[in-house]
Amino acid sequence: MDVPATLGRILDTHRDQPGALLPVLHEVQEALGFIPPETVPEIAAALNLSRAEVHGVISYYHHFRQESPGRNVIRVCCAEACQAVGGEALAEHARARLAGSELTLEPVYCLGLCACGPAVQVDETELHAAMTPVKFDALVARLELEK
Amino acid sequence: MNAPQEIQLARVPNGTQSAGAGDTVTLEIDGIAVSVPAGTPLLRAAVAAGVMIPKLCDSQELKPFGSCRLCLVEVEGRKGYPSSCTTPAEAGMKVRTQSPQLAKLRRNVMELYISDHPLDCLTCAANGDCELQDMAGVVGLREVRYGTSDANPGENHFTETAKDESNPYFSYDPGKCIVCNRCVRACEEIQGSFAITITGRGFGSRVTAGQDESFMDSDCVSCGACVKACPTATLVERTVIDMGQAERSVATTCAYCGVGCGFRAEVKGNQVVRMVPADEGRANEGHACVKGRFAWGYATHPDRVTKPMIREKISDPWREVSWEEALTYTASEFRRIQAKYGRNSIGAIVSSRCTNEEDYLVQKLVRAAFGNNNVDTCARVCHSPTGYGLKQTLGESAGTQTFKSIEQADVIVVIGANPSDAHPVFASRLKRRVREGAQLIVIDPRAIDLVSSPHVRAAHHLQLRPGTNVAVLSAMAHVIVSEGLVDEAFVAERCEAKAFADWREFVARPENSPEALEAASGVPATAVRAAARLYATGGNAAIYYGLGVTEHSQGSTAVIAIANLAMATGNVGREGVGVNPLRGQNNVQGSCDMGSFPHELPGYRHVSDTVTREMFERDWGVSIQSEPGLRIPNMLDAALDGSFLGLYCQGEDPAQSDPDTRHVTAALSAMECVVVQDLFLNETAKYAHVFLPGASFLEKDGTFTNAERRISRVRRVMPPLAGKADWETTLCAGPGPGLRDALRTPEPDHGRDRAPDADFRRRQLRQARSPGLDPMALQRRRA
Amino acid sequence: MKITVYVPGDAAALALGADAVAEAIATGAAARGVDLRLVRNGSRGMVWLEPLVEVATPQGRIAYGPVTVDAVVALFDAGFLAGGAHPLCLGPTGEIPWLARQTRRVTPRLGVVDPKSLTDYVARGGGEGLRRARAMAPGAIVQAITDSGLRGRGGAAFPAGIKWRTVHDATATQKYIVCNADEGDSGTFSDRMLMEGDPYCLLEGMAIAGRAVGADRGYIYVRSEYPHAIAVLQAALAAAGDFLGGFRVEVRKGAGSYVCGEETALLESLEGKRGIVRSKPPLPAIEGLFGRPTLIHNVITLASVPDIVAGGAAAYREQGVGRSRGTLPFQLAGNILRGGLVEVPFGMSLRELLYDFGGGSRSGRPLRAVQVGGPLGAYLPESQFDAPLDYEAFAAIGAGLGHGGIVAFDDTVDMAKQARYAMKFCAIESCGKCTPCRIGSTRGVEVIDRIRAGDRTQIGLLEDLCETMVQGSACAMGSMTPIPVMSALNHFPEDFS
Repeated sequence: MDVPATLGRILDTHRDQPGALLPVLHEVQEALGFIPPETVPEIAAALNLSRAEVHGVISYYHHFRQESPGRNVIRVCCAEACQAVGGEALAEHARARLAGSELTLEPVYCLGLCACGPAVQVDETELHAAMTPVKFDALVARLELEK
Repeated sequence: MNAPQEIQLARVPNGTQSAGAGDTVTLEIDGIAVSVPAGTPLLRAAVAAGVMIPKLCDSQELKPFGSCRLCLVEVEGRKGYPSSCTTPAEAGMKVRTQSPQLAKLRRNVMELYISDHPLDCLTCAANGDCELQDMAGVVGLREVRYGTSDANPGENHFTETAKDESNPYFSYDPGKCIVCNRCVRACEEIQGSFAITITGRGFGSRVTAGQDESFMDSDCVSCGACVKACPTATLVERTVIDMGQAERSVATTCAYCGVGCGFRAEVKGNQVVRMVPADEGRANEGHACVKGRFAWGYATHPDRVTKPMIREKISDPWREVSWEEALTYTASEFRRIQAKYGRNSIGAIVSSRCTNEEDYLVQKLVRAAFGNNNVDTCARVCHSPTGYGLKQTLGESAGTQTFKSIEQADVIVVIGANPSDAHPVFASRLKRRVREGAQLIVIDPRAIDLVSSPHVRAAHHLQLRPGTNVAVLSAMAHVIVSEGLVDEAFVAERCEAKAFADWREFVARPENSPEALEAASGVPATAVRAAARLYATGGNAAIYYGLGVTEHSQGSTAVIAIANLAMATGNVGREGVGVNPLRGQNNVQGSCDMGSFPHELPGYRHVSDTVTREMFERDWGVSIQSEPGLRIPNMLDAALDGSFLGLYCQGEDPAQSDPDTRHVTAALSAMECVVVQDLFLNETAKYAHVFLPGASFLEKDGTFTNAERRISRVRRVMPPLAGKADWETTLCAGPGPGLRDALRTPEPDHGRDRAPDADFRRRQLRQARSPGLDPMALQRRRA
Repeated sequence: MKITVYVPGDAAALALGADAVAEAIATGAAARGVDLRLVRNGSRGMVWLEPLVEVATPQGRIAYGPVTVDAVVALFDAGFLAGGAHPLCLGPTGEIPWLARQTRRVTPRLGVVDPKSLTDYVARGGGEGLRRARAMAPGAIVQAITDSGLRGRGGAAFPAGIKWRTVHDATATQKYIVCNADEGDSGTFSDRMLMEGDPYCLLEGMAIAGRAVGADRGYIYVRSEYPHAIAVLQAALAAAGDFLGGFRVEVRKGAGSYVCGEETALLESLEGKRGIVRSKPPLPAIEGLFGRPTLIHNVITLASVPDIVAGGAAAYREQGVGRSRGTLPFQLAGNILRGGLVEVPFGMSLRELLYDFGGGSRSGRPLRAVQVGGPLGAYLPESQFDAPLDYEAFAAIGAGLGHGGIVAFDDTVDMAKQARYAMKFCAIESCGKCTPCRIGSTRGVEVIDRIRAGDRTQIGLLEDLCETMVQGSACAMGSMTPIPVMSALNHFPEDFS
C-alpha cells in the first residue's frame, strides 16, 4: 500500500469540502486499517488545521484507531437490548475465547438489531444476530481459518 | 496576590464577545438594577452589579464556554439552572445568583472537581493564586464524599501522566488539570497557534500538546497564554515553582519589539518572579510572546558587565575602573580628538532600545556638547525609508493606525514582513481577524507562516522575486487605475491633484501592467489583478509592511508606492485601513521622534530650519550646527578616511547588525575612541576603548514609543546593576563643563519644562501615564 | 414468466442470514429454470420472522418466514414461488395481524418497495408531497407542519413547526437541513429501517423542508454502526436524478460517539471537530452548521413530512391524543417474543404493545422491567404498563417516550446492575465538557458499586449526585442519565440491598 499516494489522493478529493476532516479520517482508516500518526501532519496541512486539532479529533471518536488492529475486528453489542437477552454473558464468553487471539475484540453500543439480539459485528459490515456462545465459537473458528 | 474577583472588578464588561446589536438592556440581578449591552453574558453583567458569580471555566479574554457549571443561576420564569456565562442578558430579566439550591449545586460541583484533584494545596505552586482553591472557599466546600480514602480510592488522574517539564519556562502537570479548556481556548482564540488540544473524551480527557507530545516537541511557541489562562498549577511558570508568589507588581513595557506589550513585572524584593502581560496594555490586551513573557533572564545573567572598563588599545585587555575614571577618560579623549581633528570628528549612535528620555539626551549631547549633528540611529538600516517615504506622502514619519484597528479590517495586506516571528502578538491579532472572515494578501518571496497556518490561509500569495517590490506595487496600481477602482471622491478631497495626476499617468502606462511585469516579478498577472481588485473593493483594506520593503534599494520608493495605493483607494483616515510599518525595536519609533537623525531635530524638523533651530538654541543655551551631520555609513567611511575618530555608541551593535561587517569593523578599528554603553560585551565592544555598563529595561524609568506611536511607561523594577541609570551615564559622557547644567533630568513627573517643545513633552508624559495614547488623537492635537 | 421474490437486505435480516437465503433462492431458481427477479427490499419490521421472504403472486404478496438456508429446498418443493403451503407460510403479508393492526403513515413502504428504486417509490405514492410543496409558498409549507402538530421524533418532542418557522424567518445567504441519523439509543432501529427500506421518503422530506425554510443543501449524519444504511442512502442518491430538484444532499458517517446524536454535538462533528456539546443560545435554527441557520431533525420527523404535505395537516392531526398528534413507529426490542416496528397512533397503552404485539418475553419468563426511550429513559415496572404512549402521559409518570424504543427485561434482570450500566454508559459516552457528567458519571459507577457491595449509606450520595447531574449538566446526556438510575432505585429498591 503506497501510503503517500493513497493519502494524497484522499486529500485531493476532499480538499474543498466544508468540514472534511471526518470523511478524510474515515477514508484513511478504510484504506489503511487505521490512521497512522505520521499521516496527521499532512492531513492537518491539507485541511488548514493544526496537528493538535486533528489528533484531538482522532482521539475523541472511538471508531478511529491509531494502531493497526488485529486481523479481524469483532464487536459485541453491550447495550441494554442485548443485555436483556444475555449479551453480558456472551461478551464474557467472547473475552475468554479471544484472550491472546490475533482477532481484536471491542465493545459496541447498539447495532440497531435490538429485536434480535445478542448482536455481533465483524469488520463493520458482517452482522450476526441471536448470537450464542456456541455460534460465536463457530464464527471465530471460521475467521481463524480464513487467511 | 490579588484574588481573581478583584481583577474582574477592574474590568467592567465592554465590547464583550457576544454583545448584541448595541442596544442597552436593563435587568435585575439579585434585585440590583443593571444596564448592559444586549447580549452581554449574565456572568459579566453581574460584575456591573457588583455581584461575583463563582466561575472556573470563564475568562474575560475568551468566549464563554459553559463547562464548569459553577456559574449557574436562577432566572425567573425559566426552568432549570442555566449557566450565566452562556445566557445573554435580556430586558426585564430577573436573575437570582444565590439560593439554597444553587449553593448546594455549586458545592456538589466543586466536590466532583476536588474528588479528582490532589489535596496538596500547601505545597502547590499555585498556593495563594489558585482559582480552584478560591472557588472551593467561595462555595463552602467542607467534605468530599467520593472515595478519597486509600482503601477505597475513586478513579483519578493524580499520578497517571508524568509532568511535562520539557519547556524551560513552564511546566505542565496533567494531574492537576480540571479540564476547563481555558488553555486550549487561549491557544486557539488569542494566540492562534492551535498547538494544544484535548485528547480522549469524558473522564479521560487530558490536555495535550501536538499529537500527544511534549510541549517542546509540539507546535507550541511558548507564548505563555495557556499559562496565564490556567486557573490552577497545571500550567505554571517554573520561576513561580522555584520562588513562590511575588509580593508586588510593577507596570512596565516590554523592551523587545515594536509591539510594545504592557506587562506587570511581579517582583519579590528586587527579583522578578514572572512577567505577566497586562490586560490593560493597549497594544497587547493581555497577550504576549515568548520573549517578553519569559526571556527576561538576560537582565541578571552572570555575563552582564556591571563595572566600567577602559583600555588604551583594543588589543589591550580590559581594565575595570571607577565610573569617575571611565567618564573622565571618555571626556578627555573626545576633547583631544576634537581638538586634533576638528569639531566633526566625533559623534554618537542613539539606541533604539533605550527610553525616549535617554535617547533625547544623547542627541542633545551631540548637538549641545559635541557641537555637531553627527548623530544617527539603527533606523538608518531599517525603517528610515518609512520615515522619509511617509513624510513625503502622508506628512508624518510614522504609520497611521493602532494595532486594534485591524479588528475592523476586511482586507489585510502583508508585504515584506513576517509578523508571526517578528511581531508575534500583532500576528495573533491579525490571525484572529482573518479567522473572523477578513481576507489576507501576502506579498513576499517567502511562504511565510501567514500564507497557510491553522485556520488562516492567504487569499493571494504574490510570491515575487526579491528586488521587484516596486514593480509589483506599480502593477497593482495599474490595475486600480485602469479598471476604474480609484476612490475619486477621496482623492479629490484629500490628495494633491497634480501629484495624483502624475502618478495616475505613470502607473497606467502599458509597461507597468501586471502582464508586462510578470516576467520580471515572477508573479502571474492574474494573481496581481485579483489581489489588486480585492484590495480596492474588499471593504476596509489595511497594509502592513516591514523590512522586506525598507531594507532595500528603492526602499523609500516602495514605501511611497504603498502609501499611494492606500490613498488612491481611500484606505486612509479611519479604523480598519491605513499604512502600517511594523517597527522593529521597542523604541526605534521613539528614537526617531527624539531627533536621532543627523538632519533632523526632535520632531522631525530639519536642522536647516532656522526657526526650529533657534528655538532649541534658546532652550539649550548653545548654538547648533545648521548642516546635517554624518549618517552611520558616512561615519564609517569618514573613520576609514581619518576624519571621524570618536564614537559614543549607546545600546547599539553596528558590528553585529550593520551591513558589510568588514567595512564596519575596519572603520571601528580606525577610530581612536570607541565608547560602548551596553549590558554585555557585544560585537562592537571588541573594538571599543571604553565600556560603560548599561541598564536593562527592568532597571529604567522612562517611556518607549511603539510602532503605533503609542507612548508607554517603563518603570524601574530593580536598581541598576551597574549603579547608574543610562541617562546618568549620558549626562556625563560629553566633553566640556557645564553640560550637567544644560541638561534636564528625564524624570517624567518633573514639571520644570519651559522650552517651546515643552508642550510636546508635557503631552508625551501625561499620556504616558494614562493607559496608552491614541496617535491619531495626538496628530489632531498637534495639527 | 418472471417471478418476483423479495428477500430483505435490511441489517436485521442480514444478521439473521438473509444473504445466504437470497443466494440459495437464486441458485435454486436457476437450477429449476425459473425466471426469477430477486428484490432486496427493506424489512417489514416483524423481526422475529426474518428473513421474511415474500413472493409476488396474482393474489398479492405471500410471506414465508423465518426462512433459513436449510429450508430453501423444501420451500421450492412446496411451490412457494406460487404461494404454496408450507409450515413457514404466513399467508398474504398485508393480512398478517401484526402488520394489519398498525397505522403505517410514515412507514407504509417499508419492506414493500425496492429501496433503491425511485420508480417503485413514485409508483407507491412517493413524490406527491414534494410536488405539492413546489406549488406552495414556503410559508404555507411551514404552516402545514405547524398545524399538523408534528413534534420532534428523536426524543425531545419539540414542536417541529416552531423550528421551521425560526429557520424560515432567518436571513442568511446559506441555510442547511441536517438529518440526525445518529440513532444511538439501544432499543431503537426505526431510523435504520427507514433509511435501509425507504430512503427516498427521507430525501423527499428533506427536500420539502429545504423548500420551506430556504435551504438548498442537506446533510444526513448516520452513525458509523449503520454501514448498510449509509450504502443504501448513497445508492438512492446516486439514482435520484433530478427528483430532488436543486436540493443537494451529502451523507456523512459518524465515528462512534453517542453524544453526536445531540444536535449541537452533531453540528460540531459535521464541521470536523470533536463532538463537544455547544451552549444554547444561540439556537442552531439561527446559528447552526458553519454558523448558518440550520433545521435539524430526526429521520422519522423528516420522513413524516411528505405524508403531512401530501395528505394535509388535518389528516395527520386526526390521529393521536392530547398534544401527541399523529403516529410514532415504536420499536419493540430486548427480551420480547415478537419484536420489531409497530407504527400506531399515540395513545395505545404500553401493555398492549408489550403483550398484544410483543407477545411478552422471548424467554417466556414474566416481564419485570421495561426501559422506554433509550438509555436515558426510565425503567417502568409492571405497575406502570398501563400508561398510554403519549408524550405528556409518560412525562407525568417520570418517564419519556424518546425515540419510541421499548426494551423489555424479564425477571432475571438485576436493576442495580442496570442502574450501574446507565452511569457507565454515560461515562463511556460523555463528551467531557461539563463537570457533572464528566466526573459525575464515573463517580456514579463507583457509588453504585459500593451500594451493591452492601454500603447503603451511599444511597443518599447517589441521590445527591443524580440531582447535581440533572440540574447542572450542559446537555441531556448528563441531565437524563439519572432518570434510569433513579427509576431503578425507586421502583426496584429490593435490587439495591
